[in-house]
Parts: sequence; C-alpha cells; structure tokens
Amino acid sequence: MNHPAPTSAKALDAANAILSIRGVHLAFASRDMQGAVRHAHVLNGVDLDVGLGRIVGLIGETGAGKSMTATATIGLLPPSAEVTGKILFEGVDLLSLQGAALDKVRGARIGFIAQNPRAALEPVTRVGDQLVRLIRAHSSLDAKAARARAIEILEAVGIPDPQARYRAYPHELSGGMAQRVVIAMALVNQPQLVIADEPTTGLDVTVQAQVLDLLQQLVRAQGAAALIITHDLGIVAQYCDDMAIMFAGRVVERGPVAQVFADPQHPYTRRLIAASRARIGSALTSMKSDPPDLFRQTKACVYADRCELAAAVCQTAPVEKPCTPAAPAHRVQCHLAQIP
Amino acid sequence: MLVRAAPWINVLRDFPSIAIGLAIVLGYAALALLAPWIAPMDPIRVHADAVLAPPSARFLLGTDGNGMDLFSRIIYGSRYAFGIAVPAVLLSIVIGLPVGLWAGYRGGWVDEILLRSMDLLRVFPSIILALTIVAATGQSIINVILVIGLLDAPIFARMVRAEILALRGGILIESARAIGNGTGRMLFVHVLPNSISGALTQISVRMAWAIRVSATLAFVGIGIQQPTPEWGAMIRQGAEYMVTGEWWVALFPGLALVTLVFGLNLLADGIQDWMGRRRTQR
Amino acid sequence: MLVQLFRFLLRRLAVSLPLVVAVVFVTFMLVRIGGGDPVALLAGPTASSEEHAAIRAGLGLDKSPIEQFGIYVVRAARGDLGQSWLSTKQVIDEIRNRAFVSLELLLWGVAIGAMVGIPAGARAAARRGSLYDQVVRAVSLAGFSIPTYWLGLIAILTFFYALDLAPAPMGRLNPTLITPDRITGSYLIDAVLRGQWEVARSALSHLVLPVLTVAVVACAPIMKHTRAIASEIVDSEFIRFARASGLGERCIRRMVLRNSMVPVLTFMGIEIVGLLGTSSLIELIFSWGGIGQWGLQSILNGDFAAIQGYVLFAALLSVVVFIVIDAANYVLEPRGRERM
Repeated sequence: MNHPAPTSAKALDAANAILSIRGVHLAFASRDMQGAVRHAHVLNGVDLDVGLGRIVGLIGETGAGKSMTATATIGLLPPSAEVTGKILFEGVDLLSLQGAALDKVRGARIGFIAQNPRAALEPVTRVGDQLVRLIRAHSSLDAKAARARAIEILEAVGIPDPQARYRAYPHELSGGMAQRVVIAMALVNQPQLVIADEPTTGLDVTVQAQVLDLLQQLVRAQGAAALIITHDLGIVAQYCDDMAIMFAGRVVERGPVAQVFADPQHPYTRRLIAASRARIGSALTSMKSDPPDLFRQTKACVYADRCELAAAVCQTAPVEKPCTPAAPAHRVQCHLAQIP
Repeated sequence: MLVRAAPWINVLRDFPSIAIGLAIVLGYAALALLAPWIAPMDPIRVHADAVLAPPSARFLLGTDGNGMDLFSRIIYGSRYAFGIAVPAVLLSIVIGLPVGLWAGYRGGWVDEILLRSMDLLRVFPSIILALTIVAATGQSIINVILVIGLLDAPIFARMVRAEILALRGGILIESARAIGNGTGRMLFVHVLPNSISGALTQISVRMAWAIRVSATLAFVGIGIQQPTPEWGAMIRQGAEYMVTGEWWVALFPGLALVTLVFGLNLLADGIQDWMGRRRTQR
Repeated sequence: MLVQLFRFLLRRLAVSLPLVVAVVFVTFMLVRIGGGDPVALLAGPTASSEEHAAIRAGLGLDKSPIEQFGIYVVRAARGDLGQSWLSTKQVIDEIRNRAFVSLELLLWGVAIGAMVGIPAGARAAARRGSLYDQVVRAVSLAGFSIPTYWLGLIAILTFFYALDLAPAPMGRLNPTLITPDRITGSYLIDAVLRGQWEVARSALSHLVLPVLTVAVVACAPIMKHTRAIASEIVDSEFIRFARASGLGERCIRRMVLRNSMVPVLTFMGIEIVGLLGTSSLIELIFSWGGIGQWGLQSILNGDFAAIQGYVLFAALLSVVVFIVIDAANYVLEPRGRERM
C-alpha cells in the first residue's frame, strides 16, 4: 500500500529541501599492517537533498558510504574523523553543531531509526521508561503526561496491549516489536526529518513489509520527510518518492523514483535496475565485482574502473548535471549521459 | 629511507609496551643466564665481618642477616624466578592443551571435570590453595613447579576449548571435513594457530603469576628457604629487619621482583593490544 | 519477585555446597597424605610406643582417611571442628574470635580500593587514549605487579621507621590500652560506640597502614576491569542510539553507570575472594591476629584441624560472597532471570 507524497517533485533547491548535504568529504586515518598511516576516504563529495515531506531512498552497496552519510548527519562521527562540507538542516549546518545545541536537534527535530533494534535499546530499562526519558529530554512534560504520550505512541506503532508492553524489557520483545519501539522513539517528538538506517535488517520478510508500511504511514501523517538507507531496490521502488544512488562515497545519480527507474542515466544505476529485474530480492548481492578501494585517491570518475562505457574523458571526475531540462530534479554524475 | 624497515621494528615502535616489557624480561633473562659471570661474589658466601652491612662500594646493595652479598643474590635470584616460571607455564600448556582439545572436541566427562575444576578454582582463593598443597606435599622446588603448573593448566585448557567450540559452530570444520581432512590435521592447521594469539598473552601473564606465587610461598616459609637466593625468601628474612631499619635487605629483592613482574605484565598488555590491532586489520 | 529470588538463592546454595565439601575433602586428604607427623611432636622425644599409639588413637589418626573424613563431616555439622594441636583450643572458637578481625581489614580495604578504583576506571573509559587514561593503565599495571607483603613492609619502613607517623606493626591496639568490651569485635567500632576515644584513636591508627596496603593492591584490578567494562558499554550500540536521540551527556553517563553495575559487581565478588588470600599475608606482617595469620601459621605447623578450619572458612566465605553477588545480579539484571 503506497501513500502518495503531498508535495510534487519541484526543482530541488535549498528552499524546498529540509536537509541539504553539500560537498561532504569524510576520511579516517588508520595504520596498516606495516604501520604506515593511510586514509580511508569514505565520502568523496556527497551532494544530497531531502525535500519537505518527501521520502528519499539512499541506496548503494556495502561500503558505498550510505550509513556514513547518516552517521555524519546525526553527529555520531568519532573525533578522529576528518570531515568537510556542509549539512544544512532547517538553515543550520549540522556539522558545526556540538554538545547541547546538537542534542536539541537530534531526537526532537531529527528522528533516528537504528539498524539493530534490540541492540539499540538499553538492556536494563523497561522500554516504556526509555520512551518517557526521551520524551522528557526534549519537552517539558511531567511524568504523567509523558507516560500517557508514550502509551499513545506505542499504540500508534501498532503494539498490542501497550499498557502491558510498556513494562517490557528489550530482550523480551521480538525483532519486529523492538523495531516498532525504535520507530516510536524516533517519531514521538514529532521530528521534521526521520533517518532510517537499514530499518529492515534482520527482520523476517513479512515483518519487513509491516514495518515499512508503518513507517511510511506515520511519516506521512506527520508531514515529515524521511531518508531511508537500504541496499534493497525493492524497498526504494515501493516506499520512496525520491532516490539517490551512492557509489564509492559519491552520489552518482539521484531523482524521483519514477524517473530514475524509467530512464536511468548512470551505468551503475542501469546495472542495478537490470540486475534487480532479473532476480527477486536484493539486487546488490548478485553483482559480482570487487568493492572500491577506499584508500586510493583518484581524480577520475569513481566508477571508471568498473564501467563498461569508460572512455578517456572519464579520467576526470564528472560534475553533477540535470538529466533533462524538463526534469531538473533528476541528476547524474556521468560524462556520457545523454543530455538532450 | 630507501630500505623499508622490517615489520617487527614497526611493531616495537607502535607498541612501546612490548618494547619496554620485552627489554625488561630479556634483561632479566640475561642476568639469569650469565649469573656466574656477572655476579661479583658467590651468593652464599658468608662475610662474617659484614653482617647487615648497608649498601657500599664493596657490597653494592648491602648484605643480609647472614652476611651474604645482596647484589649477587639478587642476580642469582633471577635464575630461580625463570627456573620456576618457565617450567611451570610449560607444564600448564602441556597438560592444558590436550585436555582442552579433548574437552572441546569430544565433550563428555572430560569437559565436565574441566568446567567443575574451573568452578572450584574460582570459588577459592588460589594462593591459599597453593599454600596448602605445597605445605602438605613437601617443600621442594619441583613441588612448587608442579603445583603452579597444575593450577594454571585449566586456563590454557579453557582457551583451546573455547577456540574449538567457536570453530565447531562455524563452517570451517564442516568444509574441512568435506574435503576429507582428518581430525588431527584439522586441529593442527586450524585450532592451534587461532589459539596462539591468545596464548601468547596468557603465557606472559601466567609467568608473572608463577613468579609471584613462588615468591609468596617462599615468603610465608613454604617451598624455598634460606640460604637459597630466591627473592621471596630474601624478603622473608628482610621482614625481620624492617622494623629495626635495615631496609635494604627486603627492599632490593622486592624491587627486582616488582620490576620483572611489571615487565611481564607490560609485555602481556602490549601483545594483547597488538593482537587486537591485527584482528581489526584482517 | 522475592519468592523467586529466595528460590533462586536456595538453588545456588545447593549447587555450591558440594563444591565446599570438595575443597575441604581435597585439603583433608592432602594434609594427611603429606608429611608432618603430629603424634611425634605431641608425644615428645621420650615417649614410648604405647604412648604414641594412645595419642594416635586419641586423635583418631588410627582410622582410615575416608573414615576420618566421615567423622569430621558429622562433627562439623554439629559445630565441632576439632581441636588445634598447638593451642589446644577448639577450632570453632578460634574462628569465631578471629573472623571479624579479618573481615574488618578486608572490607575496609576493598571499600577504599573500590571508592578510588571504580571512578578512576570509569573516567579512564570515558577519556580513552588521553593522558589520564594512560596514567590509570600504568598505575593499575604497576599495582598488579607489587607483592602485597612487600608493599606492607615498605609502608612500615616509610611510615613507622622513617616518618614515625604510624604505630609499630604489632597488633591492632596499643598494648598499654585495654580492649573495649566486645560488641562487634572491631576495636574501632566498639570503642566509638562506648565513647572510649583514646582507644578508638589507637585502633584507628593501627588500622591505617594495613588497610591502605590492602586498598592499594585491591585498587589495581578494580581500576583495570572497571575501565574495560565501562569501555565496552561506552562503545555499545544502545549508547550510540541514545546519543543519536539527543539524550545529553549527563544522561548518557548515568546510562553507562547503570549498565556497568552488574558486571562490576560480579567482578568485585571475584576480587574479594581473591583478597582473602592477600589479606592473610598482610595479617602476617602486621601481626593482626585474624584468621589469615592463624591459618597461615597453622599451615606452616601442620596443624590438621586448624588448617581444615581455615580452608572451610575461606570456602564458605567465598560461597557467601558469590551468592550475595548473584542475588544482587538477579535483582539488577533483567536479562538473566530466565536463565537463572
């Protein structure tokens, strides 16, 4: 069941985007086996927008940098991370925020849904109390009101008998239940943006659909935007309004789902879609090739080594451009994309 | 630099714990090996004219209550330290390895006994246990080595057992069996190498423990006694003179003990860090 | 929950008692098989063989070891632990008189060690890699390497001999003072309760050095393990999620503390049991007159009944400590309850 988007795909610019990621580079320093210092370039200039009220699917293979993009946005990077660029949310650069200022935004204006729901919940506290703690951290509700709100949201996420479940410990919940609780925690303070990092990993297939339906429904009901990180094209096709494809730390193509599926411009996107049409299920598990080496810095297009169309011009990195004047929201980073 | 430094130099540079710890341990080992040539005097020779003499040019660290040179005795003491620690740890491995292999692979009553004996050792302070056993079975160096070796064996057994159990759950054993590998080969090629990284750290730790326990035993009065130049026995004698101010008799053997044990613990810590880094690199 | 707790404790006790019996049995056999012929000692050099036989029969040593063990167990159940050959006092009385003395030393030492070690370890975990952390690691490593008895001797040398700050290491009280009437068995507490301030001061001054020695030795492993435990929790997924939800550093610190409690408590139990042996050595050096000193001397003297009494006491104390810790875990840790 698909809930249609309230806003249409206008030209994506800062005015219409609630989240605007511009030119983000992220690198980690480490030592190799011989002890020499080397840098892993995890993000290589990420440009991404999430429009008001739109659900954006961020897709890519393992190591493409999608989780790292979310980590950077929510401010969970370790101190050793070297990051440049801007992540604008409601006019503020999240990368410049720290401490209390950052804590005011996350959990309240931005909701986060973790990958492993049972690991994300504190083991020794009842789930209801965890919800209440989160509510009271971001509002001035008293204990009674917070508790009432908690039960309200537990019911909204479809947990049966919320009064009883309030007193449950995380290990007593099934995976699906736990993920519903995590969704409740992400949405309870009515954020404008929800970031979901692979929200269906580890869940049964039937439960996956339920959880995603729920997520979409609640996000729409609040009029919020969402960024869903996944490696499953099927999820993107079914639940997202826009999509962005990442490879080796860059967004190689992005745009409304319908347009990208109808007319994919980047060779990688084409392979993804073709592969997923050939198989049911996750497209990326069937693509055979070595993952890109994050330690190598190159001036060429990041996909050049694997691309069947690679030409001499591809030795310089392409700049992002819109695919057609008629559809400026659909953009691609490829020298060889046919621009009419 | 045109020539790339050997990898182990980088390890030493990145992990100063290993470098310092190894330096200390090797230093003492050298003392132990070269004692007869390094020590200025015979460790059990009595200088009747210089009983309880403070440190001086003649007796670098003073003499003890019997008039024996402390400096020489400390140097020879390292022989006893290594002479007990090395065989004891070897014994632990020799006993623990097969027991652990059997317990992990076959289970059964061997496994049960192993687990129960670990429970027993946990329930009870091991020093008291060691004291009681050594006191009861005769006070000789061999007994000390045997007791320490036996008490530590379950630790190595448990390590190997855990390794086997981890592998059993995995595909490794299935696939190895599928291509027809025999049990023995599988154990040697897969289990042992994986256990070695944990074992290295434990070896260092257990050696430190063995040295401490044997010194404690000697201090209490069990095991090695005067005039043998063992550090614990020396501290025991020095205890009497602490209240009367002849501080060197107990201080210097203690310092030697502390330094060597510290070196071993530091080395163990460093190895653990190094193994940790290696694991995340793979 | 109380009923379940009670049943759980009973089960733990049932499991532990066979272990205690096993420990005592092993000691029993060892002590008899090993050297040391008390008969010759008691009889004296001029006794005839009939006197030898009479003494042997009187001590019950003419029966087989297994029979002897059986008799011992039966008597022990009635509270009769035999008689010390050297002091001719009842073992049970010796234990009763000395038990609290040792516990006073042990508990004070552990308490101070924990009060210093746990916060230090927790802080080091929060600031891993910093100078504070390195210092904590170095100090705890050094503490691991120092033999307790030697540290006690150095303390005596420094504070008694050189600085003349501490009293002579002979016993728990200035010998010219009269011991206070027994309420708890602790000179300090009893003197304070009875308002005998000079006695209290003397008791306190005699407590300082031995307690501090135990505290220093106890502190090292406590610091190291607290640091390890807290580090693992700080790195865990639910703390990460809590940060992503904007819960604030103070709340996070409380979460870390709360989730560390159970593993730290468990570790403290093991620590205390280990310190039984260590504090015995301290008692020896400071002539403390507790069970530890008595036990060690009995081992040296080959005093069968006394050795068994000492071992039995240590084993029972270990069992009690572990059961208390298990009970605390049962109450505090919701995850393990089904397993237990």
